[in-house]
Amino acid sequence: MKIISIIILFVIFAALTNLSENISELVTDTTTTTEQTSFIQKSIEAEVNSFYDISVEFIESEGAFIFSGAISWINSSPSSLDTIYINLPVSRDKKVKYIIDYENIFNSNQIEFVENKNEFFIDSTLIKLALHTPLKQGDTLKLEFAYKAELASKDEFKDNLFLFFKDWHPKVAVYSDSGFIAYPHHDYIKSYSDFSNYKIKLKIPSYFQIAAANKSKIDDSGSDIYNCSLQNSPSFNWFFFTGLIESSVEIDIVGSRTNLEIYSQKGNDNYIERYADAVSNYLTSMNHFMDKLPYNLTVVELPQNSEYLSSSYPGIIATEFEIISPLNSQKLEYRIGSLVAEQYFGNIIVPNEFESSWLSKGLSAYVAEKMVRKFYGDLYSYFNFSTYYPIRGLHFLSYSDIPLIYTIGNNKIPEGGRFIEKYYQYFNYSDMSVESAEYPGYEEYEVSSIIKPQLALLTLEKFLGQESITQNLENYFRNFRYSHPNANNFLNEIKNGCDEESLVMLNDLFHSGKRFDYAVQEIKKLSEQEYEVLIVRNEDGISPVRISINTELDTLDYFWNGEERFKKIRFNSRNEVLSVEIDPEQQNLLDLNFSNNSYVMENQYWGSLSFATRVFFWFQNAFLIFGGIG
Amino acid sequence: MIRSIIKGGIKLVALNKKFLLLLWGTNGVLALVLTIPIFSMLFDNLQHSLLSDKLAMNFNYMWYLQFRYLYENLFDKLPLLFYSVVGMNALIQTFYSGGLITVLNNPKKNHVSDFFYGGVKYWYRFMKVTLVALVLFAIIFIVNDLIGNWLSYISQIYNSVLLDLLTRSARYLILLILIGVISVISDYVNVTIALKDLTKVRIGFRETFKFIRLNYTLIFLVFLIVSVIGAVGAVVYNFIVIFVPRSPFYFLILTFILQQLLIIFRLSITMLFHSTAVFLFKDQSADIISDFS
Repeated sequence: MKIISIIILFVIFAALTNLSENISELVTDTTTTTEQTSFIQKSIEAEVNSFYDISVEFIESEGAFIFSGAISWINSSPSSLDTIYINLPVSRDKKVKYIIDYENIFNSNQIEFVENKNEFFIDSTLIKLALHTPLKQGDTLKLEFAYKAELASKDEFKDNLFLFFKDWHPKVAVYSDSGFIAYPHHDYIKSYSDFSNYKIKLKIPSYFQIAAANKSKIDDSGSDIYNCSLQNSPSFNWFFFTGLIESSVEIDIVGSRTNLEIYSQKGNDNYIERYADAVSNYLTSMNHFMDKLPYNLTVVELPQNSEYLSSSYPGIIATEFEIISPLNSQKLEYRIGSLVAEQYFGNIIVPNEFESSWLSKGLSAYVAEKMVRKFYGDLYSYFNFSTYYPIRGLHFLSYSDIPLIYTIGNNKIPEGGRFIEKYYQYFNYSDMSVESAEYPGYEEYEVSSIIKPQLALLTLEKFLGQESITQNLENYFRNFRYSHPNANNFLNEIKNGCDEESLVMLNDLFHSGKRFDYAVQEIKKLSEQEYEVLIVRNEDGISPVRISINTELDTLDYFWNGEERFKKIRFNSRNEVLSVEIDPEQQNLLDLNFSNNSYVMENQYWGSLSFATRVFFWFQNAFLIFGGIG
Repeated sequence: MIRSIIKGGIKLVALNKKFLLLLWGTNGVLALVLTIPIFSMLFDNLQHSLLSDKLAMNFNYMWYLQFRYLYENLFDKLPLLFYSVVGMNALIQTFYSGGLITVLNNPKKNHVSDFFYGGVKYWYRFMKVTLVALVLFAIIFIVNDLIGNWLSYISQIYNSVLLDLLTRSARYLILLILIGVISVISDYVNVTIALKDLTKVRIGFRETFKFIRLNYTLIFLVFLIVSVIGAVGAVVYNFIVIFVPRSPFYFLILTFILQQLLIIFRLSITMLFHSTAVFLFKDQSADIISDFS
């Protein structure tokens, strides 16, 4: 009995020892350094499950980038996993082509490829790998990889090379309680990524430049080596280019000085001060109710004709620019505002943008609108002559960028009016409950993810108050930073400040594409002092309605929850009723028709005549131009 | 020389100012044809709305966008109507050119009947000139578009915004100059045909090119000066109208009067273009009689 007990104990001891050795092998390889181990250890402590250690070298003579590195991914879930989803590198840029041997890209004894590789490919950017042995909770998957990318034309550099590396390395998909949430790469929707630690080494010839987060440079006889790191970040993205002007500007954020790196296009250093001013203003504003960003920001100006859109990645803001962009057009300032806000709502909070892009882009658009108005005042309408020259006014007809019928003047655009024209063009696609990836094109996506949410939040703000919305945003940020919230998480925060009527409106704003249109249909005089007002709801969207009845001497106010299709209000008034108006402050920005929000007993002519005379004059001028033929 | 041409032109316009009424009336009627549908939409939208008075005072951007959206279907049809009326206007202006040149050429015979006689007499010939001018305009615009595409391609290769900006600006400047050149040439062809009573348009072009080749400096300087006078008028109008308040409502009438004064001024500039062309052509084409002293 005693001997059996000793043998059993010995077996248990041996098993435990073996297990600990296996764990050591998983987390280290033959070349593991102390640094790497502590890097992973820090990841575990910070509850980050993945880390990426990647080296990139640009070989100028070959016109190629050589990538090599390792992914370490820790299974923190209680489930054992036998498959893992990985996004592969993809280039949307015609200038760069990835050369990947799909069967041999990964070097790991933990995964297996079967003969038919098509079984693993969801599409060319998303792969499902089988594991030899299930990965239990706490186990680490280690994948080494190597591949390269070639420039499409080796001659296409020296003066105007510009490459943006996003989705440039293999990445493990996000794992949640329900399993892996994996998507193929998308043209304009940001990849859904988990918070990871990055250690990146970029080696390039000295002639070239790099923009990346948290980089430090070492000269290495003709080459520059950049060591970059990011902690707890959804991605690491970088730019590789020549010929941009590098500036470092010290900016003030809530009393502390920090450096802002700006890379601007040749011959375009006019905007450096504006970028610095805008970033300083916006970060100061956001720091009042959110954390300081965990990294310094870099601003990169995109080339005019590049395929890239303005985007915000951890530590980097890439912005399109116009060669002529007056301060009072606010285009530059607004763009920077939305990109800075997206640092918070898209990179520190990381929603699934394939489902609800609006959580990142829409919230950023709302915050940007508030910040731009605060720091740069009112916006006025502009149109462009010959593509580049902004002229204050409106234009109605043009040919080949030459305005034919136009008016010059100061036409103020109120809050919410910045993009509302596009909302009217595409509001069939404004249902925010539809997954963002479902929309057929970028314009439709833009309306549902950026414009409609901005308008919805501005409308809510008018009903609930700016303080309430600001507090809700702050709570949302504090509760969900470094996590992956969904739409309901955000809306639950907003609901805290809502009464019953506002809740119905909130639902219609965020869970549907319903339109809003209330109209005062008529005012009837039933007797000497008795009146009846008929108010109708022309569309499906419901919002609370404030009704003002204007008499000769005073104004009577009523409130209606807006739920029925029509509402008859009977009231007595000794004074003559002149008009009835609903939503007099135009709180509901999504109301399709402000002109039917009021009803005046007498016919009104002056507005129509005033405009008609202007239109008449414009046509007269147009005929003078076109009548000059012959 | 130029001063005497301009003075002579202004005198001729003053002598024939009654025809301004006809030009202005026609311009107004055609503009009204296009304005009535828009007024109807505006009235439908604002008839019982409080916004009506507010819009008379201040422009409301949101209302404007909503108005465009609400009447989108009707607005989509407006360009077709606009271009149709522009076509009609071109035909009518061709007729009026014939009448104008006739009465400007012979100040003593400048009755309304002479005007219409001239319009009828030269309408067919001037239409042919107009068609040639239209073809030339079409060629210019097509070439302009092709050059634009080529320049965009070049600026993509060189990735230079500044290059794109400069080339586009130069392109538009050249386009405007070419439009001006064709307008001047077609005006002078009409004058040549009318004054020399040519029946063949081809000969009219040939004679005009000969004339322009001998007098191009004078022609383009006169054209430039008359254009500048026209531009000055527009600037003065824009300056004055800023100070006209929007309320009370009778200031709308004042604004309308100022607008019509500008239109009449621009129509008189149109007449001045014709009168200076006639004056210059007659002056430079006149036979030189030797001095017998």
